[in-house]
Amino acid sequence: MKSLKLILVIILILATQPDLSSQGKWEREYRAKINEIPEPAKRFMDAFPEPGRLRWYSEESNDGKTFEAKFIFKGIKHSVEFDSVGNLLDVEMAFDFDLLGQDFRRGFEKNLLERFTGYKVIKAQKHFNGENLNIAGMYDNQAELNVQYEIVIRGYHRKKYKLFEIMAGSDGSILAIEEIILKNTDSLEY
Amino acid sequence: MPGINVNTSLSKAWDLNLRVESRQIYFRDNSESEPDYDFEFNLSDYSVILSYRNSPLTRFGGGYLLRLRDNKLYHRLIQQFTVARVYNNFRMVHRISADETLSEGEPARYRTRYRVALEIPLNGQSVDDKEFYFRVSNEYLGSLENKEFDLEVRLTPSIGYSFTEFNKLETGIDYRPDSFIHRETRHNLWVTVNWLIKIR
Repeated sequence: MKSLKLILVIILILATQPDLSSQGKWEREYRAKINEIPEPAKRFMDAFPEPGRLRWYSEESNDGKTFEAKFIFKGIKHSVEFDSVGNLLDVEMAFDFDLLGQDFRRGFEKNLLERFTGYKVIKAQKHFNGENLNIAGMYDNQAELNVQYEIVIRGYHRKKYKLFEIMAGSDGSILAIEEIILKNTDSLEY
Repeated sequence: MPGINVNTSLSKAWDLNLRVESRQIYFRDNSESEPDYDFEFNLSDYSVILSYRNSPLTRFGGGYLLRLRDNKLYHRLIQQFTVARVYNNFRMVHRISADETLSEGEPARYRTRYRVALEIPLNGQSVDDKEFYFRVSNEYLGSLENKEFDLEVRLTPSIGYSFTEFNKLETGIDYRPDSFIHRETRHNLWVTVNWLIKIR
């Protein structure tokens, strides 16, 4: 019983502390029902006949609200993002990094090794900007489209590594690097 | 089986985890006597673990646990290593640990443990603030006491609510069959309530 009292005292003390949540940027994503999705977004999805396991998500953040459709098409995972009124923002497709051309991989590696002592690719996606996007061209003629690559890596520096999300141009140039900060895993570790 | 888990960052790589847990028995049924529905205080645990994050996904830790049971003190040393994995729709942590329990007048007990724990969001692809999630863990413990080896298994499904990323409440059950080898297997079922907070 003494330990129960101790637990209750600790709860009382901690419950009266200032808010433990982080301030600043926030975001929240959740499954969205089909009747919440703007009509232009639903019409765009007609370009993908019979998309497998289509799921709609809504994401809210300081920057506003977007909708995202995730599905499998031609055996590849796709993610299509729309703004709050259904205008297309971008399309992302998972792909095997090892299938990229030598020109890209040489340029990409050269640029990465200027920042890291080593790296390992964790996953990769092709990123198509939504402006004037030709759906058929995404599969048949990517050379004419403004393809960028979103690649997650383990970047090594002085024998330690961190996770980074890199946006690369079609020539392997580094357009943006952002460190990935994992959410708290204490509830799973202890 | 209520518990509070408080974690605090000492630096970018070092964390300190403090845990208080107690157990109360409400129902006991064994083959030797009639089922007993009497409330009985079982034990209290107070633990502290210092851990070092050597990479975004892995962490080493070591600590000490003090147990009060039957008016006796038990001292436990803990060593653990965790590996986290993040997938599209869930997160998983593998934990390998060892502990040594000592108490006056009782033989020392040594255990090695492996646990896998999953966190699955119930809305969307990740657990956000003010959302529910499902957590389940499965653990295997091998123990050595008095030159006798035995095995215990634990299955712990629970539902959690994330007030914020650093403030969560979980409740569920903890099913523990043990004594598979040397004695008649016992089946223990605990109801768990855990509050997990991180103070940065």
